[in-house]
Amino acid sequence: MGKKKTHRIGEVLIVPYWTFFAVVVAIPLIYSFVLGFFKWNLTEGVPSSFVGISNYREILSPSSSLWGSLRVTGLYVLGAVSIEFMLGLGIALLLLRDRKVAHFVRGILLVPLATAPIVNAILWRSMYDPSVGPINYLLCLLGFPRISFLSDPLRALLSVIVVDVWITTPFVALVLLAALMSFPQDLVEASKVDGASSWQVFRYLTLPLLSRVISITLLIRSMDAFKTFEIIYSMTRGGPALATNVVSVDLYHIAFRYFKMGKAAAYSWVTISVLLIGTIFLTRYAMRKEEG
Amino acid sequence: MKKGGNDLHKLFGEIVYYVLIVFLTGFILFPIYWMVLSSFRPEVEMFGASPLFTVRFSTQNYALAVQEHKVGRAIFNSIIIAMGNLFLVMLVAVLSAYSLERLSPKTSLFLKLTTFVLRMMPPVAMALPLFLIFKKAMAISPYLQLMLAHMVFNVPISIWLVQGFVADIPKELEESAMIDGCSRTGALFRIVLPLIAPGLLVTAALVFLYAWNEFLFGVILSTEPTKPITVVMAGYIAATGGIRYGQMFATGTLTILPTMVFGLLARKYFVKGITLGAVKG
Repeated sequence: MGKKKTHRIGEVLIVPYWTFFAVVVAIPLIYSFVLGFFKWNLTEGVPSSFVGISNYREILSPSSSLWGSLRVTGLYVLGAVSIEFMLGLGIALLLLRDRKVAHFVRGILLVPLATAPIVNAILWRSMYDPSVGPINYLLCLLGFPRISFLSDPLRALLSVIVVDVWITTPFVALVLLAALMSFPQDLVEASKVDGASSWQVFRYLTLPLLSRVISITLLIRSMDAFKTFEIIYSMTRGGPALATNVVSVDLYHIAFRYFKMGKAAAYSWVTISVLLIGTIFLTRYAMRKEEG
Repeated sequence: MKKGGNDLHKLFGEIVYYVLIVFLTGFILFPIYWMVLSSFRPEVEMFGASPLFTVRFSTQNYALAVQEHKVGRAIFNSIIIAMGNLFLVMLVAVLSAYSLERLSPKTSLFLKLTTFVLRMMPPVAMALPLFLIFKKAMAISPYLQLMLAHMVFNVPISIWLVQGFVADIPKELEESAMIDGCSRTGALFRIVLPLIAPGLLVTAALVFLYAWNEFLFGVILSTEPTKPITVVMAGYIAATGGIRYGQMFATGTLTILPTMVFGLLARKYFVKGITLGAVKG
């Protein structure tokens, strides 16, 4: 009888969660999924019409903006995550040297991650500005010509990647640092006594032991980078010439600039699928590597 | 002779180490320092002045921002939205976390699944249906719309965090209280809650911070009088008559104030919270 009573309370307590989930998550998602099969242009004032999978056809056709966005997003994720990991590892190794310093510095390093992304975006946009920004001020001081970072396609993509690196590298570094600190130090000592150089210790001992943490963090970071919106949209609106038009920004344009609601809904689900497939693929690949 | 060489080598290593640390923290902090500094510059000094210090310190940007861009009202809006969201999230999170941890672990799997699925979604994908649904149900105030919208990403991570805190409490404490006649909910409120209070505070700070910092839902769902400060911040870029950098930086400085306060007051929790939030959020 006691068990039955416990079961009841459990069900009652969890009601708020189910309410939240149904109202704020499930209903919007189902609505969005259904909407993907309709054509609905909000600005024309015409009611929606059922069009089956024509939205999906349009999005997956060769001339669709999806492919360009995927390419840009891929470049962005690749560039940002690889730099973050290399720098992050370097910083982690640096911080490993003195725990007290590392402890003190941690809070400072995480500030960019904790400040509002919109502020970071606008702040860096201003930093890059030819007339107001300190970067160009420095260039001018050193005698170099001013550079307009955000108006050239390649430079804009790199500039945006720099911002993501600035925000997230400390986080990657701290995760790697935590993993490094949990190492059995005697293994390192033993191999050094056996004559291994620092580089050899790193390559054959440290890296393999870190590989699991690295894979998981890589996966999480790549997924998050794929979803980037606020930083890029606030800095470049996806330009110049679609050079920074990542998937989220493309989706935003379709929904809130062109107001093609049905197409945007379908696009959302294509994006979710891409992420899902990508994650499953990467997880499988990582697991296979671990076994091998 | 060799020992002298070794000492020099060590000293060189020390110097390089500290230089690198200083450079690292400098690189991370400089942009923020620059923004805060520039917020105290009069507009005329904005172009061509040294980025390291200001000659004519002035607080006029803050006054102007409040007057011309209604930043005071924006702060008020952000507070309302963040507090309301905080209340809703903590309510759901505490009850759910306790229930999941102690009473129904099967639902926990479902929760993990939904958290995973939510992770697959770009926020824009969620903003679209919420926008359409709320636009139709216009009876709900934009404040409430935003409080609900922020729950989407705040609740899963809060449940995860609080569940961790509850798990740390040995259940024998509640069980012995219940043997003495206490009810299950009584055990929750009188035993568990006080013990996880610090954890709840950290979670609350994170939830508030996330709602405060959020931009996308804010810009899509808010109306002119209900704009949170992040939306006002973005508005400077598109303003007619050019960007008012001074006021923009002043607004930016105000926007990051909660982050700074949290970081300064509760350093240890700040680090823990932000890293956990980034991993699971």
